[in-house]
Amino acid sequence: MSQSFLIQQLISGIAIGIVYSLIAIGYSMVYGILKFINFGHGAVYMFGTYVSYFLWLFFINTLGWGVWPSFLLAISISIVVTACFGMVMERVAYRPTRGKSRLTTFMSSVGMALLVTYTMEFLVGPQPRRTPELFPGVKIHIGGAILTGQQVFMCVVGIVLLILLQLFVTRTRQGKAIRACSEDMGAAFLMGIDVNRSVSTTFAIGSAMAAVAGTLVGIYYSAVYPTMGWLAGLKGFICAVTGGIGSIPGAMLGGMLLGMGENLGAGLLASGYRDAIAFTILILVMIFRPTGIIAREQKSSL
Amino acid sequence: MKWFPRRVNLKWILFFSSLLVPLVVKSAFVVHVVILLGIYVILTDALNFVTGFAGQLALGIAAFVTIGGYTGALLMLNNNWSFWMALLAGGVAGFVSGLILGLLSLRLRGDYLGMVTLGFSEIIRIVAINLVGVTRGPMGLPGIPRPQIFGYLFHGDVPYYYLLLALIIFTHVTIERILFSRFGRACLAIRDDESAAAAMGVNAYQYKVLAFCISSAYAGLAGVFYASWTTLFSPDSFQLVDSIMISVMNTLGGIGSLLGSFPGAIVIGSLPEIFRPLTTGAGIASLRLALVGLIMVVLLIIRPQGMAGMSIDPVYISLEPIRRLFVRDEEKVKENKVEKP
Repeated sequence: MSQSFLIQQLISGIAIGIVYSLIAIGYSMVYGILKFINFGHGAVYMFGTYVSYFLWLFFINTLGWGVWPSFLLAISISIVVTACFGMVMERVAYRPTRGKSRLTTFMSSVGMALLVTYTMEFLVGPQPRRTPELFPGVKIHIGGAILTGQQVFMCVVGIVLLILLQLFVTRTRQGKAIRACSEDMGAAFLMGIDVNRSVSTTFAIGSAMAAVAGTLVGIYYSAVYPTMGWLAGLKGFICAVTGGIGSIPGAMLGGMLLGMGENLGAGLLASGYRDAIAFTILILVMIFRPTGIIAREQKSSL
Repeated sequence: MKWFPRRVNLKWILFFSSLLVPLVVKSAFVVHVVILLGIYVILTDALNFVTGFAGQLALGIAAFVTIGGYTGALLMLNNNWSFWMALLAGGVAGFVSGLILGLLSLRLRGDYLGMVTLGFSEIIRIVAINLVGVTRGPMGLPGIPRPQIFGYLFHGDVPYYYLLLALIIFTHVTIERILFSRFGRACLAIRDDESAAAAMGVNAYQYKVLAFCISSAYAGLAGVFYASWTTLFSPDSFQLVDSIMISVMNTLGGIGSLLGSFPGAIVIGSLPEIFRPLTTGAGIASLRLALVGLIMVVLLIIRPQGMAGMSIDPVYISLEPIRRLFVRDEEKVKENKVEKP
């Protein structure tokens, strides 16, 4: 167990962890505002990945563009399409159940996850597809550890997006409206805030982040497949819970902890147990600190 | 015609008609599907016990089926236990693992509990895949022995059908008895209002854990039966998607109803068979799961109480039309006269 091995595992853990926190944002914000776990988020993540994957290949192969311009255009279109998809999902499956118990909405989101995931599997087939590479052969040496260009790119994109999101939520009018709704939806409604619009915006932001995260992970593992959303969605949820659900810095912290814990554990134990570590973290957090590391000042809903 | 009953309890109709199924249905394929549906009925009942009666959302029932299945299969293969002892051991293994998870997680409520149980089920699957020395990993355990009773060896689907029927009856009768006991009433009280139940002196946590254990024990039994029936048990026999599907069956049948597991399991479980003529190959599995999801969403919006509602009362079917056939005309005339003075 050399020191460079540890550093290597930690840095790759941070890279994947930041992407997890992008997924966690979707859970965290939706939970903050509607108080339910959006199980369908993993399916949105998968949907966004496929949209950008197919557009990317279309631009490269049919239009003959370069890898980077096609990537940038594809991911931009995917962000918009997935954001709309998230809003439609909320409108169709979650709004009609809003007045009923939280469990009804949760089960409805489980149904939505099945519907989206397996419709996609029916349409494109279950086999994993290889993605093109963004940084072929780029390696960066930091203190004995070797980083790929993709890992650095993931870190940069993730941190930029999280900072932008934090600014949006704290500085803009719509962000203020979202915060008001998540504190007390009824009172926000009485103050003249358009609650439905705030909820839709929340879903749009979460879905857009999921699309970016999915595309980055798809390139990182060079595999895109219809059931990729199950595990990624669950891990995003674990990050949201670990960091403190409803808080954006918490999601980031949770993501990094999970990414590092997973990579270290997989390196120390056996790589097959990587996903089991994530779920063990979930159960431990739930037992010992169900409010997460950064707890919001509100009555715990647990 | 005094002796002819005016109404009959639905469960007797179900019982006698299910006894006749293998005599009427000659197709081996259909019997095979019916057995699979029967396993779903047991699992839906087990889930209903914890979700419908104790009101705790659990999404990890596949974990207990896997634990029970592996326990039974390994005991039969390595220690030469008989099927019946292994069946019992599978139930005990389900109970004990349910106790461990329940003690850890049942302080949580609602969707959080759902996520933790789901995570537990994934952990079990990953451990089963990686413990190659014990479970042979993803290849699974082949050649699991068949049950034997008084020298008669079970082979073919028909004996398994009757064995399964016995298990279903056992599950239903015990669940009904438990439900109308002190313990069952306490569970219903916890479901309806946990604070009020606690104020009445019900120790909610204890009762919830026990309900969870009982539910897991049934799942363990079903796991051993499944392992022996297919003679192959692998980590992928029951996984996340199956847990969710059983949850959908429960919702469709009616969360908290006694007989709702039958319509729920039969409708959802037979979906792939209905689609078989339309598509081929891997398409069926995806299409069926997509449709299960669609049914779930539509159901929760339109009729969240499911097909049977939340009724735990016995269901009676009126026999009046059949009775009329036997009643002589004069009696009919008399009846008419009485009705219209």
